[in-house]
Amino acid sequence: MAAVLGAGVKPTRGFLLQLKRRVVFIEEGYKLLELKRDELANQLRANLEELTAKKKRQLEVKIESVLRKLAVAYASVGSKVMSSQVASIEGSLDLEVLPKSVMGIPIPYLKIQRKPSTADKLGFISRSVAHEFCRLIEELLEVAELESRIERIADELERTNRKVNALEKIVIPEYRLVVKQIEDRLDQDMLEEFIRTRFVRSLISRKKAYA
Amino acid sequence: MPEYLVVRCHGLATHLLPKQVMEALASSKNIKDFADMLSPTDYGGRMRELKDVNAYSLEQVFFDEFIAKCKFVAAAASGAMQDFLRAYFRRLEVQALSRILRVKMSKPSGEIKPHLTSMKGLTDLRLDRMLDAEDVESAVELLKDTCYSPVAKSLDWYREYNSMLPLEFHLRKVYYTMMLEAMRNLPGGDRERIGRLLGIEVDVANCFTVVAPVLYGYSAELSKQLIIPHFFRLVPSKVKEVTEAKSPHAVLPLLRSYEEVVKPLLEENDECLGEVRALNLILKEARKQMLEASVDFAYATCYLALCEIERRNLTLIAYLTQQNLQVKGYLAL
Repeated sequence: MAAVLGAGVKPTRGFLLQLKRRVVFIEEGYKLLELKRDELANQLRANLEELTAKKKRQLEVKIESVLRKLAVAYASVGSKVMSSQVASIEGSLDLEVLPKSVMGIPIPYLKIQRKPSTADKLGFISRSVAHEFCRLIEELLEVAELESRIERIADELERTNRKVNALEKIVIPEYRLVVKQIEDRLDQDMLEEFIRTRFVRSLISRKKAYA
Repeated sequence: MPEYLVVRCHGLATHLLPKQVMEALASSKNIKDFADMLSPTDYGGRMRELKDVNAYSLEQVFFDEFIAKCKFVAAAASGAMQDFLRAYFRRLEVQALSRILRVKMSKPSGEIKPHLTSMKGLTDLRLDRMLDAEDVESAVELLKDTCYSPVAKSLDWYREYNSMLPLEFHLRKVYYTMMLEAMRNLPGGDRERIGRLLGIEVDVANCFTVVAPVLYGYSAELSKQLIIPHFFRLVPSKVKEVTEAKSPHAVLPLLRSYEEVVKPLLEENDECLGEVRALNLILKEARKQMLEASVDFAYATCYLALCEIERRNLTLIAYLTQQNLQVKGYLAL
């Protein structure tokens, strides 16, 4: 890696101090980002475990079973009865998607504003299917919320990881190189100055000897 | 004299689809296969008129055929038996009224017109007028001069719970009260036999009603209100106690006489299976009585019960076959 002193880089002691302060600041940021990355990884792992646990509850099997029950109930009471029962259900499922911040990441949080009311409304057969559907929809919403959270955290983790890597592998080494080059340049300048002084001093002393 | 009616019913009963045929129909690969298997039966005539064979059109065919059978039996009856059958067929009116009232809550009611059309001749109620009613309350107002006038008393419950159940169950209560009154004029043996058959029906309806608070969070007060006040094998105090039950485990000991019906509801939350078990009880009772009272009027009532179950089975097979789903286990055989 060859860092060249750019146009904005001044090989001065003042600039070197400023640069050193900046390196310290970047290194602190890097440490913080590392902490954030670890925490995000922990969050991701915990959420994935939660999702696996939810999926272990055989959600797909449950969906299949509820849909089957609906088909059987429909077939059992007939289309006319079922459609008249459905017609008497008031309201629909209203959701509000609220932003929730987890380590600065906006995560959607679902809030059920209104559920279609089926209690005290439906007759035999259709009420059990409606009841199961309501429960299933709530479970599906929980899973959707969790999946969305995982997706956002994974995105943020990827971004943070890239930042940490960039700081670790590119930015900090480049800054250190620039600091080193400036230090070298300043050392060279000091040495030149020292030799020049010694040379002048020897010239003066030689002149004094001839005189 | 019931002889003529009973003889006709004996003839008609031979047209009922046997268990083996029903099982074969349940194994049909698709709806076309199912329709082909049904074409040599009584349903074939109406099915040939269909342009498009699907579960919806077949459901209408099964309903029309059932109504035709009911009309035939009604025409063959006379005297007290005719009066009883008139009361018995009011169950179709009650079903139609329930549907009309439910759709009055939200939807236009065009969908149920074909059902009402085929019921003409079996009911003297102007159901078409109900369809034109603006809302539930004006539809109930139209029932003022009919035998269903007491239903208006449940309008307060309807308003309080914003639910159709109080009106629906009041219709049922009126129906069963009328049935019991009509039964009084029948000979003692018939009265007892038909009472047993209908008793199962009412008991099962009450079982389904009272488990609603503990299983589906229905209001206990409303459920008590919905209980049909006629009991056969159930104990009224225990039935009311179920509505206050805190857990499903507490229900079973109270409804022990219908354990097989209630168990699928409590353990698997499968009301369809509960209904099948209830229909099997009715089927068993009807078949038993058809053997015991083969020359009595009760035979005709049992025949009608079997027709109704056959219609339900065929509709179920049609829909589930169309959806490529397993039918077995949900047939009342």
